[in-house]
Amino acid sequence: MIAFGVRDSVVVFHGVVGCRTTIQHLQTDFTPNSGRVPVVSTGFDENDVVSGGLSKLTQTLERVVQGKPRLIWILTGCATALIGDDIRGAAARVEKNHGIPCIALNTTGTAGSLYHGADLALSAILDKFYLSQRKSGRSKLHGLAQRKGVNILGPALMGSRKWFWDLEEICSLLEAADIPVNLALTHNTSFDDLAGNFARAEANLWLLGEELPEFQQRCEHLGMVQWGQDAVLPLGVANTEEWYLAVAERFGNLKKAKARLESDQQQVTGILKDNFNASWVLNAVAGKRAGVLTNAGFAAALARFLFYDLNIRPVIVGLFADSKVALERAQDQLAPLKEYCDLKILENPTYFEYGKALKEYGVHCAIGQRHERVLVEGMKIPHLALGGAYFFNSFRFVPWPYMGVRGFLSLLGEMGELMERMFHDKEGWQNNSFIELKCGS
Amino acid sequence: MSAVNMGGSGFKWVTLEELHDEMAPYRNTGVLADQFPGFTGLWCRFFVNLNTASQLNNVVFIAHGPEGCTAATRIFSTDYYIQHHGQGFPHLVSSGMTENQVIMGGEKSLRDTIIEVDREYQPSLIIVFTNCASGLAGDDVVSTTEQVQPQVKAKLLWIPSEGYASCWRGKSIEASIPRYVQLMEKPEKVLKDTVNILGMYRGRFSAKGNRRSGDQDTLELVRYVEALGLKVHRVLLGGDYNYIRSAPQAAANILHFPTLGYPLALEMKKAFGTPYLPQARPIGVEVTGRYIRDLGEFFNRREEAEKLIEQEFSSIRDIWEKTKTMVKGKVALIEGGFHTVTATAQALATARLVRELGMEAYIFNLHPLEVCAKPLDIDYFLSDGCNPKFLNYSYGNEEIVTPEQVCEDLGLQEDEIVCFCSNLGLTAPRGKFDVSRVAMVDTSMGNRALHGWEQGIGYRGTAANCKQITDAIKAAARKNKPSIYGRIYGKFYEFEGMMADAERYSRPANIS
Repeated sequence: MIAFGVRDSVVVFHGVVGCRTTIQHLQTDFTPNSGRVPVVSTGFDENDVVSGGLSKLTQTLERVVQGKPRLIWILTGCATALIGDDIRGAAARVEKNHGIPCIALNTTGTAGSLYHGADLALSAILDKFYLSQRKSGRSKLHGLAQRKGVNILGPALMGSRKWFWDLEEICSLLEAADIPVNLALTHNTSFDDLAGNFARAEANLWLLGEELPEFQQRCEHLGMVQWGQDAVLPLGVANTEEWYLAVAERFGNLKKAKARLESDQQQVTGILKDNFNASWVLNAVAGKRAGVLTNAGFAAALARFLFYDLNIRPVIVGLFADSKVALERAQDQLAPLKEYCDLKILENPTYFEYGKALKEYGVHCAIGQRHERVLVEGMKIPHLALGGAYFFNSFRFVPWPYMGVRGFLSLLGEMGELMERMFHDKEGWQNNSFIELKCGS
Repeated sequence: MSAVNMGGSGFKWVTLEELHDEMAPYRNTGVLADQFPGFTGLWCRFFVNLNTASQLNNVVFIAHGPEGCTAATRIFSTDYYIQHHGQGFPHLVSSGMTENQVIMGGEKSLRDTIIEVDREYQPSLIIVFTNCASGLAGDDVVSTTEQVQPQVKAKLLWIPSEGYASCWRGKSIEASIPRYVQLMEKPEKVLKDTVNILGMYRGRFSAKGNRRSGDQDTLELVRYVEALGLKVHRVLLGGDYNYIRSAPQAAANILHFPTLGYPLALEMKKAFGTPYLPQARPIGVEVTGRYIRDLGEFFNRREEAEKLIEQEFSSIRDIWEKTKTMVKGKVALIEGGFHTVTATAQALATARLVRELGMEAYIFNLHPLEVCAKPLDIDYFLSDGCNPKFLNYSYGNEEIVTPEQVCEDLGLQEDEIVCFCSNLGLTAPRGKFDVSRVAMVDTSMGNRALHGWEQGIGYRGTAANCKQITDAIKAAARKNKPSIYGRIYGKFYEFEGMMADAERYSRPANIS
């Protein structure tokens, strides 16, 4: 998920083809306004388990370098990592023979999750292009006083299904508050920027609550501030106001941030004020009980958006997180709701636990990720996927975000679709169909 | 209009009984036109009649009039209302009345349309609605349908639905519902221990073996009937022609929504002698208990009734008591709304509930013409001791008052009220009067009718109402992070000191 955001790079997946197929689909998440980063598999098979896969890796690399990528990633799966093929040696040979930077990482599933992989990849970038150079005296680092703006960290990991449009909106908000955006780590990031400009920024602005300990440690060595891990994501109006004013106060111009909020407000108000359609959905969803299940930071922001902006009761909130600290952060963000709304929080629930909770609490709808849709709708509860990866059956081609004040319009539209499903009694339509009656089943 | 000058503007708080006594009878249109200047009413009679008729199956509707009425229904009424509630797709055709037919008569066009519909659709029932054009042209629909009935297999029923005939839903309902009795047949025998449920609104019901499906309100009443060892014979208006025609076989009728139930019950009593039990729209512990007791008394199931009442109340006792505690000292503002068939009944049933919870009720934005247009509803609630305060006003040209104005007039603070209202359209509370500060419970029927949702009657419905009330009170305690309504109609952001001078809603008179 980090490699895919680096333009002009190629991923050589040293592992079985099945994993590569999944990975290649995940890459779709990064294509809007960016482009495709190829994933080439070495096709590791049973024979290679016995005799080792290094020769296949070498052959694959020889083919890949012909395309003259700016950067090659060598990533492994469980099988190749366990066999112990010398991927670092292979990487070193590529660099020596062809002058193409090559980052080799053991990304076996047994070592950790998505976030561990992100930590490895980001740390490797810093090691290769910044910290090693500082040791050798050929530093590309800028002096602290010269640093400006922020890097945006983890846009693909924040949990929104429209994360790439959300990233654009966040960048727009930051720029409006005089906070320059240095790099997005990663999306549509050029190799030159990645390798040369990371440390121009004063701070890393995190869009996720997970810890990336190796990366964080390296950033501390580089004297970079980390901000945002505790902040609620700017989803919905109330959350955006909170997030935006805080980041503007810390890094930019508060007055300009307020001016931008007012401008966005005019756009939203212009569309929604006295709008019967809008009042229809706002009225219909108010007071209803919802379940929420998605990654922790996004779930917390979603629950707050539902309650504050739409007067929906998020009675079940399921938090998916890798680390205890990410769960704690989400819990803290939800804490202000507890006094005003009955809230049951499930930490890393099984789908069975979540389904039972939905039934026990009598929810009217559930909002989460595509994965649990069949579970939820099988219980006759309407479902809306706002979170999760984009690549999987997510037909969101219109370049408009969920985040920010303007994103409220997108969210409201989706809530309208959900509301229709809450109210439409399809079973009744089917049972009472005149044509079925006349033509038989 | 300043809230503190409401009295000077012609507003007056009266009791429902006083209003009932003050209002001229509905037939005195001249007096009423002087009293209520400008246009009144909201819905076309055709929409209202089609709305209720759409709960039937195996039926085709013929709109005897120009195509525009049918098109308007399709793009508005069916889209907004009819399609939600589990009814099938309403098959609606037009006789396509033209200017020539207005002059020469449209009976032939109607006859031809009936014959064609019967041949093509083969429904068990065809309902003919006459519209403004055919009504004014004076087409003899009675003779036409009598003459064509032998030529078609479908049963024909005419329901006059001219838009000009009555604008008030109560009168439209009262005029149309009893006509369905024309589909019923005198029973050869009355089935012991059976009841019909009359007055289902925006619902559906079907029973197949042990399986019951339908809207939650109807299922609640069915549950009570079956718990007493009785059988539900028919739920009306619903089913097809064969279902309806045998309704008089039931031993008694019980009521769902009084607005739709009473006219049918009275007509069935007149035509077939079918008795009916008087309670309707039971929201609240006491009235639901009476509802079940009446049923038990009639069918000699007193012991079963008491047992059921105790069992049901036990299951909701906690939320009931909690709600009574939380609303102590508060006042209920209940918005009547112009929009729905059941504005009067729902508002009064809510008033009855909140009184039982310990709150005084004030009803506003319920047009006095609604009151005099629904005498059956009013008589029922008054006889049941439900006599809340009522804001009497001309509401000329659909002018409304806001909850804020009512609050100020009554000298109430935001923490002293629970507002039962609808956040729909231009009547939605907004700005300073936001859910983040004021406890607001949505009562609009249309937007509560989602499948699986406890709409509001019986013990379970009472518990659901209570939960909504307690949730609303809790949510309003936060005094920050306003909803989008609060933002759009007030200052948008909290950094602007948004509650300090929120825009007040005042809607100009809707004069076209």
